[in-house]
Amino acid sequence: MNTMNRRQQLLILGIISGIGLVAILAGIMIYMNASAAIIQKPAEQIQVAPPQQPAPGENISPGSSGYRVSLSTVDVSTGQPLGNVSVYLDGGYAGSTAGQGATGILEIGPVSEGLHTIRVTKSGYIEDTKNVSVPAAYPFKIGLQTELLVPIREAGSHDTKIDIVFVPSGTTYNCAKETKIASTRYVTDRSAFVSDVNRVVNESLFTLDSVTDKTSPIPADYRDRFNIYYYYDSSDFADAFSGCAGTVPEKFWKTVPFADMVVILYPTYYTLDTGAPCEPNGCVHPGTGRSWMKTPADQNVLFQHESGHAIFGLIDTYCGTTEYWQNDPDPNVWSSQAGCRQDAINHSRDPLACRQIQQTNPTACTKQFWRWDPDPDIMHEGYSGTFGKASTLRITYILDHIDAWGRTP
Amino acid sequence: MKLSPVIMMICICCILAGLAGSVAVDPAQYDKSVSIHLTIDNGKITAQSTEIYYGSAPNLIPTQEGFRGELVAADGSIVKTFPVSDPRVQSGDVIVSDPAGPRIQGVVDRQNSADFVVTFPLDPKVTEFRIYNPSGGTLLTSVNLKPQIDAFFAAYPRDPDNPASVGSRAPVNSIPQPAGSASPLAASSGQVLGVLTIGSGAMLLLGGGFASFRILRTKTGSVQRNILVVDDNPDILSVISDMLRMSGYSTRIAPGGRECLDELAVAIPDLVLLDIGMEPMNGWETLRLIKKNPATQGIPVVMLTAKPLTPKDVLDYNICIEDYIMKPVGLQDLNDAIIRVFDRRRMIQEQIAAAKGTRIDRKEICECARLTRVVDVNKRLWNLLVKTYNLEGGTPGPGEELTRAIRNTEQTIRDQEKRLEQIRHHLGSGVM
Repeated sequence: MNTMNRRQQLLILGIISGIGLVAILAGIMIYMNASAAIIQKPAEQIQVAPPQQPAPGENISPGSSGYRVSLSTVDVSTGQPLGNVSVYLDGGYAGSTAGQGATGILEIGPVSEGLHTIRVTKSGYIEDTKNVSVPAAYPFKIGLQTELLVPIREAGSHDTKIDIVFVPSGTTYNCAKETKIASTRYVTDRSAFVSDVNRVVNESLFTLDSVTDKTSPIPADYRDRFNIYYYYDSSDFADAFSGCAGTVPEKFWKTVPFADMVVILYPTYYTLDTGAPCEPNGCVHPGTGRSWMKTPADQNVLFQHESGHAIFGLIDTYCGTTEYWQNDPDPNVWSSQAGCRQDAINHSRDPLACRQIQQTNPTACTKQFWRWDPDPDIMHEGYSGTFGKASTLRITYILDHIDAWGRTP
Repeated sequence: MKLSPVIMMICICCILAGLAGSVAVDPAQYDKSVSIHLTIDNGKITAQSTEIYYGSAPNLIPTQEGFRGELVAADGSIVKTFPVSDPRVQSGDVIVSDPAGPRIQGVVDRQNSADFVVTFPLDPKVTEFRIYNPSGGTLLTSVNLKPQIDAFFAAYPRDPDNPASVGSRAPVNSIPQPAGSASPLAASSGQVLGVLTIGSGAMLLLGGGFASFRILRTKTGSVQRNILVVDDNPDILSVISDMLRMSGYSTRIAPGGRECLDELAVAIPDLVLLDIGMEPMNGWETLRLIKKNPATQGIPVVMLTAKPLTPKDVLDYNICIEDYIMKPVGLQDLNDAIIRVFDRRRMIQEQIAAAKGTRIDRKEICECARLTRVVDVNKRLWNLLVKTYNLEGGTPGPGEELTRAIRNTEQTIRDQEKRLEQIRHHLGSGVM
């Protein structure tokens, strides 16, 4: 043949197109770098993937023998190919299916013969890891399940923000009958749950500035120090009335390990006027890694009271059957009057406002702990009031010390 | 009219520059956490299990009352001390009505036994977790993390935090970028250069794509070919179909030999990709029935299998098949095989078309076309046999009988090539 055949022509055109594509990507990088220089983006915030080198003794270096591994990623709910999935071979980043468009196929190699792990991650999907044996008789196919977690407001990385996750309850409580009852509101209507979550966030959590002390205010950007999510599994709901603080869905911790505080939300608490013995409206289960609380969706101040415990480590200031300790640093409850007064002096507050936690009506109650915040104090009332100077200082301390592990400078 | 390509280029540049900030590839994620599942029973704490996994750990909420946790390094130094809340205590509130107005009451749920989980970020230098009773400082239990850390990095040896490879890789987020020191002018120039580069690239990409499209349309006469994929493994069916669609083919699938014949009765595809090892009707039997039916015998069939090809397969079926692809098949191999089949068909059709109108015997033209295909297919199959049985390698090859059979196949190909040459010579005049 004295002319190029069709395949050769296509090959040359493919090379030209490839050069074009590389030029586009290079242009994008040049453009973005130039933009970054203009906005003076802090260097330490730029994430850099590690250079890809084989581990010592591993037979996958370029040029050595090995196998090409074809990997296909699909969305299990639709069965459709899923692109832009990050793929890690044996813990090292191996590429993204983005390299081949939205088809969800990636070829890795050369890969040495034997057992390997392939981990796949994609935003909005539950990450998955498979053990694979190379060579295999057919391409590997990994299905990714849509994450049950939906972001409402993401302000930054999990390390640097307080991650609050709302979970719907399939139960509520009728105090008149002293019985737990099934609640279908969130079970049958996801949008009702989402609507309640948004309302609680906007009317309770994000109104902290209006219920805290104005003379030494909490950080003005406090809303940006939270990541807010909701978790909705239509086959498994939380039970707000299993034990004091309730229980979360079985799969929850596996899929949302980073949750700093889980809020089990139930629609409403029926009949409040009969008094004890009834199940609590709100309750906190503190934990080092797994902390959760329950609260009704229709009581904004009670949410602030419970999140005062759960998120900010505040102590109840009413006298009753509850837990007391001096919650250093920046406490709102002291184990001695002297300590309370000294702290008040240190923070230019009136030391004479320190008073013992006690109650004479309806039954006499006295605790060997002292409080400073004036009434109506949210941690005293539960259903009304504000956070005083001491509680506000404590809230600010937590907002300023989110990553106590010290992962971020 | 002359302005339209320029306008098009400017539009593309603007769109691409706008999209530049929205390239949706997730950054590499290497956060790892440790979760220790513990139980407490009447004050005695027992570790039940330890798990290390990819993912972020929760933040540490300071000053929870309960126990004291410690993370300890291999040399015994304490890396971190932190509070661990008492899992047996849950504090609640209930708001009740009272003649004097609503009031809050406390509810404390205390138990003797409880399960709990302590979760913290993995620090490779930490090898032990200890939990103490804060009142007397008594050690309640300790957990040696080293076996789990070693097992984790054995499963993920290429992780950049693997102690065995530290020094050979840069840890994530540790490479500082030089602070932005470019002047605004230089940065603007960079943006202009970026846009121009994007524009040039877009022109090349569009030009290449357009020309390829024209070639595909004019040479093949059709935009999209249809391929029937037959395999009894649903995963393979799905993956191969995805690969084919990615390459621009439309696909149909059949989960077995019988279903393949049913599909062929509905519509004739341009090619059948047929698995051999199926139940109850295997690929060879399906192939026999396809070739027996006059309506389907002209469809090119490519065999797809994990089973090594044998000389007997070649002798029995070389007339019937177009190619033989060994699993695992990569995207490139699959595309090459299919393009080879279509190119060969097109070339033979062009040769037949060129011979029409001449006085050349139609029988000879047909034989030439048939032999062209058979020789090409047989050469591919022979190459596969040589590779499969390592006839060219220095290592011990197959048995004598098998070697002889392969050599016979080679001889058959030579004979067919000779005959093809004769026919071409006879036809002459450069038609073939």
